[in-house]
Amino acid sequence: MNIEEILLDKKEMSKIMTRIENGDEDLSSEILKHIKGARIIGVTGVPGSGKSTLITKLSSRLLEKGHRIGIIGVDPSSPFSGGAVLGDRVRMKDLNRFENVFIRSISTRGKIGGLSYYTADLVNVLDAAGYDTIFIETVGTGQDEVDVFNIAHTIIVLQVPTLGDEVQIIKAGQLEIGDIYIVNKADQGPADEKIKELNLILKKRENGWQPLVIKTVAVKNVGIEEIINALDEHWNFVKETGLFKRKINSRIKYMLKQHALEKLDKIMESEVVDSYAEQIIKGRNMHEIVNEIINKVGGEYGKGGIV
Amino acid sequence: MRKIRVLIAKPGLDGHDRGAKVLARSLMDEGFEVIYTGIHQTAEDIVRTAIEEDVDVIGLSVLSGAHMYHFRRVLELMKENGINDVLLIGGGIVPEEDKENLIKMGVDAIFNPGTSIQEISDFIRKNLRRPL
Repeated sequence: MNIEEILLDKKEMSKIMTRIENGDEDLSSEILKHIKGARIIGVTGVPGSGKSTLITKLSSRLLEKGHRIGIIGVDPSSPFSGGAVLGDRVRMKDLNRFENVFIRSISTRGKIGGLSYYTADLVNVLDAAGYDTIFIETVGTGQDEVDVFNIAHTIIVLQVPTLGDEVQIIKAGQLEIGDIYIVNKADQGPADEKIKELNLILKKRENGWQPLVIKTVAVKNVGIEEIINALDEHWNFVKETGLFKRKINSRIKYMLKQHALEKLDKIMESEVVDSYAEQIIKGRNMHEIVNEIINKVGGEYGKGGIV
Repeated sequence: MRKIRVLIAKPGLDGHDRGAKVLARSLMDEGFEVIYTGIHQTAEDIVRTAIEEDVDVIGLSVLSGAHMYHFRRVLELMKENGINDVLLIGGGIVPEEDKENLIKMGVDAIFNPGTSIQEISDFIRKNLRRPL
């Protein structure tokens, strides 16, 4: 049976995701060959801003229109135990009435940047299985978590009315990556002020897109239709301007970087580092050691070694 | 070593979720990845989530008295979906005689109030049906 047939079975697909998340390199490379080019939407914003609720509302509308929806929800892992509470599904219960949706919750497993090392791989699994629209819900983010920009065609950044003054709006990071900005929970504070501030700073992007700002109360379905329209508008832009092709390229480059970094990360978390630290204390040149470690990633530390 | 994934859910109309939340948090401290779905889950919701999340353990918290019904239904759906490598455990207010019947029915363990987190996490680690 070929891999695309296997992926038709949700249970099998789910097990494939587990194997990839646990480091099955061959499977991860194989799946990448089968991606079909799904539309990928990244949703990011501070904890509690309404990401899961918004994704649920948007997904319901898109499922009614006949789309097949995949959702990857990322939550943080504990720096102490390595465990995690993955709670994105609490708000997504309504989606269980649809057959054509698949939700997977994952932990960052110690990775910073808003996603885990394997998030892109799991997106690939959904893409290869024919889910045409895939939401990535990042961990609750602050300012600097912009990894999702490398994978998603469209970035939705959620803001809430009550947090921060206008200086927060002019800072680097998340205010630079969004295609659609949502001021959610608009019934709970000075939303119009926030919208005014956002509109002031959100100039046309280098690629020609003018970011949109939309006011919503997601739990009450206020503003959902406007976002659906904005998503369509941006998707047309993505296809017409060649951004679609460029994103496939950036997704693959991002994955290469993640997988290389993960190997290095494993080595640096292992006990070999202790002996290197000893050597530095005894007078060995630090950067000589850095280069030695990098040389060994593909060799004795590589597959079957520490990694 | 791979992460052990545990689903914690509350079936039915029972809204007493403090115990389930404490457990979710405590199992996180034990290094597990805990998928927490919250209250008002149907058996269908639970089994679907177990499949999509590829969990090692399904843990149900029932304080409503309807434990016989909920566990039976989840076991039925697990069978229907060919799930035979996932532990089904539970906690809540379950009388001794029901506990015995649930175990006979195929539930792997029932933990009553007062059980230590250590006992639950040890049970999970020792009885996993999939290789680590």
